[in-house]
Amino acid sequence: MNCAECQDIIHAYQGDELEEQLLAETEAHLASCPDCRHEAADLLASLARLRATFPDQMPPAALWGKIQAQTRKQETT
Amino acid sequence: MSQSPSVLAPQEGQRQESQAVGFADVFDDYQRPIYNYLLRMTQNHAEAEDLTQETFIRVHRSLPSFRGEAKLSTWIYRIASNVSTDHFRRGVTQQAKAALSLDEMESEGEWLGDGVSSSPQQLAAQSEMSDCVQRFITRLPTDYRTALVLHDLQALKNREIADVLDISLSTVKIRLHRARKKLREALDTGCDFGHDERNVFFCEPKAPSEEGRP
Repeated sequence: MNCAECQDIIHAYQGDELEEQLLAETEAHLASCPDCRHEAADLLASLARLRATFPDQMPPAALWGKIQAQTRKQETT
Repeated sequence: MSQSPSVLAPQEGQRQESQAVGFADVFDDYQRPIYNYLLRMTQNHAEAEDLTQETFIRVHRSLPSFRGEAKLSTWIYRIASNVSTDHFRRGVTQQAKAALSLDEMESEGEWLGDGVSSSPQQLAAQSEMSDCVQRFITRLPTDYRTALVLHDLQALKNREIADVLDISLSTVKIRLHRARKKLREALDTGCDFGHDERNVFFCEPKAPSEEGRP
């Protein structure tokens, strides 16, 4: 695997979506290539920033009641 | 009705999809991931609530005809994505008006511009989020935003996103790759990062460079 191939699939590597053989090739390349390791670390950091910006939130408690009211209205018409 | 404890959609197999599923159970399992998906797309609590409501009304209408050809989660995300797309096509949001095409973004090079006006609800929501990343997401074209949010925030796999959006796997990868590339560029060039005294992550626009000033 060369750097271009590695950087092409580094997103899938971070997303844990690589097949076994490709995963092994990617990890072997990362172990030997500081540039691609840096690229992978950068990607991971930006994803962490993204996730920190959008924490999971609870939906409003009134949502179920509103949906029930709407669906009941539909059923009676 | 109980609140779903899970942040993400339930694991496949947790609920037998071949058997009839009740609407209340479906709502219980998916209200949180769908609400968060739509909140991350709109960045507006009121809009996210309205779109979540519309999504589950459509789910309620179509659930009796759901035959399990797709995974239940895929099917529900597809409905939510259609609701979201309809919403942005109507152009009712400030985000939709502010979103640039990728070409425009590349030529303008202004990832972090101030061209977005906000409603009071948006301002309230924004105060809880990091402005830089949020502004970047707001200005990302809807197709790219959808791929980024589904993959990196909703934790869907590429294959699932392809099924949800009815696009090829390679298109998903291209959109995701470009969106992440632009996110990194925006973060690297326009933002300062750190943790405040409460160890809460923050991100704010970089101060203008002193270089080149008289």
